[in-house]
Amino acid sequence: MKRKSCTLCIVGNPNSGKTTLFNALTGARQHVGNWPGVTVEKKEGTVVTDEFNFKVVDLPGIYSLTAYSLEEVVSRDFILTEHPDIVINIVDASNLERNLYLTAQILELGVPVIIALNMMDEAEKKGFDIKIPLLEKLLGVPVVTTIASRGTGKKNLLEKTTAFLQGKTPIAPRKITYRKEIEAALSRLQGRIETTFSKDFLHLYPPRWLALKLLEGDEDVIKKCHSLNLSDKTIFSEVEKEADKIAKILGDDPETLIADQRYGFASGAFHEAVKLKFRDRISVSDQVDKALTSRILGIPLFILVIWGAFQLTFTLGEIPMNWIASLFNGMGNLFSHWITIEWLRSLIVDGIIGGVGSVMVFLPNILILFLIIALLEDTGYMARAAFISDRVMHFFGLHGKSFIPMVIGFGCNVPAIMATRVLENNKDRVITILIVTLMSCSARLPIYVLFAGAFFPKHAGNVVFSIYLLGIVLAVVMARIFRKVLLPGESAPFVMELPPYRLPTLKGLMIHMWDRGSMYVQKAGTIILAGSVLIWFLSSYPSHPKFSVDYTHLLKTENTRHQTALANIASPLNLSPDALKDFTPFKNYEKAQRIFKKESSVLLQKQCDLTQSLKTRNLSWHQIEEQYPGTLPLYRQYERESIRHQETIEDLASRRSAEKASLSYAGHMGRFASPILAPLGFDWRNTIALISGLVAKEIVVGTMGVIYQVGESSHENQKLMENLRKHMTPLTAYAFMVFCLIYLPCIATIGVIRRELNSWKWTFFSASYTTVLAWVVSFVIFQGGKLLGLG
Amino acid sequence: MRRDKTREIPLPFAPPGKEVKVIRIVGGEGMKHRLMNLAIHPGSRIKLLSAFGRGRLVVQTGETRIALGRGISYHIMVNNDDN
Repeated sequence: MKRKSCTLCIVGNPNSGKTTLFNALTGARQHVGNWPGVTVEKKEGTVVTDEFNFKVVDLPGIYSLTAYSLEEVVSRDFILTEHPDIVINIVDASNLERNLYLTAQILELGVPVIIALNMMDEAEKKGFDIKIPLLEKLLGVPVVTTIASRGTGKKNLLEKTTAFLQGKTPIAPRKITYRKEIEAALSRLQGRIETTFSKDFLHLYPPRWLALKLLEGDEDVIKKCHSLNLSDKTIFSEVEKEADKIAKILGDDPETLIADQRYGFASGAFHEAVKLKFRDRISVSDQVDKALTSRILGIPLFILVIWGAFQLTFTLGEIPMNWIASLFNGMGNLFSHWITIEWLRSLIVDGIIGGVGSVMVFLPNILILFLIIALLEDTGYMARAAFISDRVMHFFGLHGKSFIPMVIGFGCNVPAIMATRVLENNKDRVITILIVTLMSCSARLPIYVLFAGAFFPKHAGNVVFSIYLLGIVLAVVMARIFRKVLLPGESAPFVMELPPYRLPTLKGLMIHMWDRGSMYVQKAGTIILAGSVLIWFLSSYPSHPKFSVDYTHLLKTENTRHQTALANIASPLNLSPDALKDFTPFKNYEKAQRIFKKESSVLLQKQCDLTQSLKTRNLSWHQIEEQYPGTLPLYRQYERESIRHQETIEDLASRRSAEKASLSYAGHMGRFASPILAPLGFDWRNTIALISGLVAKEIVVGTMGVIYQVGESSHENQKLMENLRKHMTPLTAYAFMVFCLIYLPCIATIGVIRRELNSWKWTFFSASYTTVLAWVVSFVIFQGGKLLGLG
Repeated sequence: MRRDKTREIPLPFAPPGKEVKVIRIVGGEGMKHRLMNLAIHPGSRIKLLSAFGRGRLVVQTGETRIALGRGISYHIMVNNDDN
């Protein structure tokens, strides 16, 4: 059987369970995007029944259908111009009166509506006895009770929808009858509208609704009407005349009067259809709120929650982090085994697996942080946190709601910038976006871990913390400056609904977490992949540069020298130099030495005494010497020679790689740009790393590894740290970390800033001010530190 | 409707825990609209739940709890009769 395609849209108040219902209906089959031209999120999904193939559109959470906010305009335009086959108005039954205010306005659009009366369980707890048939009669539309968090009522909702779409139950929404003066004006205007506007236009916008909106002075509708280039423009003066008349007779402007009557309708319907069985005034939610938003407990609890969130993120994240690291390591080893073409192997192992792997390692951290944020949002605490932080935020020229994107910024700046959509005022939004990039995202963490580990091993934790703190301090200072200089004016007054505390659903949490987390994965799969390949290319080519020294020759000389030395050791034993390593006493000495080395490394870690272990080794050596007299001194020579040879070869190799890196394209770029960064104490190697970090800051560490030509395993990490210590001082390392914190956010962030602010000017400003700020702060740290004698 | 100025007080001065009636909103259309959305408009009854200091409040209207910053709470004028 062929299913018919239909469009169904969900509209309702914020916190009414709209998204939960959407998730319950569509499950994982959903797609998040933006409404064309505006940055209001558009969610679409599908649900398939026996008869229909529904496209489900989740409209933004709104309180009314006026022209005051983008979300409201987007929603009503969708309902009117896209003609969804059915509008599902989700209504919070436990907060029915206020929710019906939006319902009243949806009914006025004259489109088929079904009400999903959600959160019936909570309404019952509050003692509401809702007479459904009566409510249906009052509103003129079907009412289906649901508990979206449990999926209850979903089937019934789809059945009612199907019945309507098959023409079995017609829907005739009740309309509000206004006071007779307004009604009279409306019918006069309606007549004029029908003669003034084209049929096509009136097909989209019903005449009565147009009359109502014009009378209300709805800016968006007026603009739309003006853009039609009507031949007869008298309608506008007509509207003004009617509005004046009403204001004169009734003593208030039509907009207020009409809104009041809509509230009257909502209130009337509520009081008629709902009986209070009992009054349960002191709910648990009230009690919890008393504590959480109280003057004394509010702030300490808030700090505790945020601290706990970070603790959990980093401690829990560490375990899967290690798994992913070893997974990518294993993959790297596997591929380097398989692929024999050298450049291809290098591209795949060093470029792709190394680059993407270093990013994916942070996925657990990010998912956990986003899970916690989803938990804070879904339980209702985030709204309280925004309220609690409003005062401090206000002081710095921010808004309480700026707090939410700032917290998300610690995970990844990209979703953080998208989260600034909660701010209604555009200035608040611009300032928040500008400073959010100073929140140290988890991509910057590996840089701090590496440098703090190499230069401040005893205080690594504190050093990393100080960088995070610096980011926050700079953010609030910059916010204050921006507010004073760039975007003067008051931030929007704080008004926010505090949703009742709710137990979040696992499904909802997972979907929320994945919505944001997937952006990070996408970033790894696209920009970082491309960036890694580019950096790999720039630092590996030209593949055969002209070296200052002939390394091949030096290596040959060393090998000859080594052979001669071995021959000298072997001759008293009447052995060939090659046979030394299989010589039984030597093998025994070596074995004893190995055991000693293993023991001592364990003992050193525990900071225990080595004497006993050393004695044991000397004893076994002594026994071997007794068995094969005269071999011990020769073995010691052999051992020293082997170590020397090993070290010389490694030194040659690393000198060669370092020179190769410096002669690569990246090396040229680094040396070209390094005079700019020299006052901060950075050399060309740091410069290349910073340039590569423009792609994504995760890459900085990988680039350091490439330049110093060490791999990514834990043993090689030690070597990288050693190499770093040779080239940098603790002071330059700190200045470098600070620079990494502040300078230009990654490409993905720049892209999202451009999209969210829809302005190249602000995007360019964001990129340049951060870089200048990074230079200045690092300069102060480096030069100041030198003056204090720390360099 | 006659408006007796002596009987209206800004919301932060209202006694906590008691239901008061909104007389008017002193402010621009945008602010009026935002409050209207959350069912705070002339004639609606609201209750002060808790004060967080400096005019920052949590109020209840109907079944909704709303947090208000100081920038807005002083713009809501409520009745001041003790009956």
